Amino acid sequence: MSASRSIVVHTNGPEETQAVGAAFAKSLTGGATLSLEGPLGAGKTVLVRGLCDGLGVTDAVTSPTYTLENEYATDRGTRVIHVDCFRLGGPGELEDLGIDDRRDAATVVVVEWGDRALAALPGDTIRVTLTPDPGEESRRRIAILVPAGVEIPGLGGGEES
Amino acid sequence: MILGIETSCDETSVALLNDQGEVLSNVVASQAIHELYDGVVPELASREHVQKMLPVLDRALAEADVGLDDVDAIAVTSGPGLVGSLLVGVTTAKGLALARDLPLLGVNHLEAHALSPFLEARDLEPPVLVLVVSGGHTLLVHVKALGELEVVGRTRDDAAGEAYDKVSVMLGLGYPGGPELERLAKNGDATAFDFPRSWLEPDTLDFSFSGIKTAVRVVLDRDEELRREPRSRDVAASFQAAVVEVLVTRTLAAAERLGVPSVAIAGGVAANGALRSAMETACRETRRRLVIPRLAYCGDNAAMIAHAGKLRLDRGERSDFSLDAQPNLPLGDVPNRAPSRKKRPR
Repeated sequence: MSASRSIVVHTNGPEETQAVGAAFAKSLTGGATLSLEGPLGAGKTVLVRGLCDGLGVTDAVTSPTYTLENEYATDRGTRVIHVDCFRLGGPGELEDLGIDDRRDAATVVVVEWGDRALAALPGDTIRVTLTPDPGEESRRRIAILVPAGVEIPGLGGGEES
Repeated sequence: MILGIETSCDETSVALLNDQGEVLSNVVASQAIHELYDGVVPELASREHVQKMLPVLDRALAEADVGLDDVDAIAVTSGPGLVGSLLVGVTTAKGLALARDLPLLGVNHLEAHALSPFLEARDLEPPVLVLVVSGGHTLLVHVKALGELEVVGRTRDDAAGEAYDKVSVMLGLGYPGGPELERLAKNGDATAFDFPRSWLEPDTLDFSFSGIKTAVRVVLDRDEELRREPRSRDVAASFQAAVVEVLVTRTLAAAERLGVPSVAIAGGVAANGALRSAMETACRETRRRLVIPRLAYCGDNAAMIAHAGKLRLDRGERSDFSLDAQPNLPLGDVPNRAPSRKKRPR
């Protein structure tokens, strides 16, 4: 069983953030849950767009803040459930969306503002934190925390902890 | 007489429309309980719809001074929206239609918004270019005929109303804070900050509002004073100017490109005074007719559902009892005419 580890990358602009998402998606297996965290305008939806590109989603990826969740089919017969906790009051309300009932080996669940409802997310959730650089407005630090026991094939490099 | 039911999100609404297309009643009950939770809570939403459905129905009948015996058809929003909320309306409509042997009409919520200008201005004729703008949607819809709608532009990220709500959170105005932000902007200098207008590629009619949101955050992070009055007024005014300019410019570009003489705004953000006046000016300058429905038809309401349902009925259409809530129903997909609906495990 592997220990938890974190991978940190820096990006310059939304295109690079999207590319990181697309690259990371290649390492994801079905059944994975990701929590995306960071302030308004940090690039969470942009990263999701990259993840969806990498997973083979062909539909437009838009913010689910209002709809609470969007579901996208991929060209590989799998699907992505894109959830947003921005408007939710806490974990109980995330549970009410019934994501757990729909989580399976052909589904990747991506939760924006997942830190607002962590208690309702599974223990093997991969937490991704986007932090804007105060000095340089287009720069972002993206930290991916992979919990102990979660194997991500092909994921090398980065900082081990 | 047609009875309309809308429960796609926060509002429980029932309306009655007579055979001449006149609104006899349009009762809307908002779910105040959500303010306690900073947003729409799905489980609470459906519970609240269940509690309010019958009282709202009774009141709509009483205000119209009619009984269920006078109703000839039932129209209901079947999507898009929150699945639990939609189900309350769909189930009620099916119950009424079955019990009283009436035609049932599933209505696409977005189509109903796009057709609401025709409810307001009875003499309006297609083609019309409609900007549907709300907390959850930003769409440019080309209404070629009353039964032929084409989406020619849409947001690629955040809806315009969502950008308003998120910037209002940054300015400490709470969520949703669109109207508060507009109030703050009234006394601000719209030229204080030059927030980016996202025009995307030159030939697209799509929108993008997430860049403006990020730019506001960057400005606020530089100077904490900007989050507070009086200086927050300038941020609000400059933000609003950027959003409104993009909405108006894109709408007029679409009307020009498609050769459409009339323009309309629909959806909750149509209540925004800055958007209304900028669109009025632009339409006056280009000699286009502008229709903005009264506020009661802009937010989520059942009158627009009854109206869109009546148009379907007049075309000889109806839904059968397999009608179901379709949370992701795209505009252009008519409820119950798409047999290849994806089955979800329940």
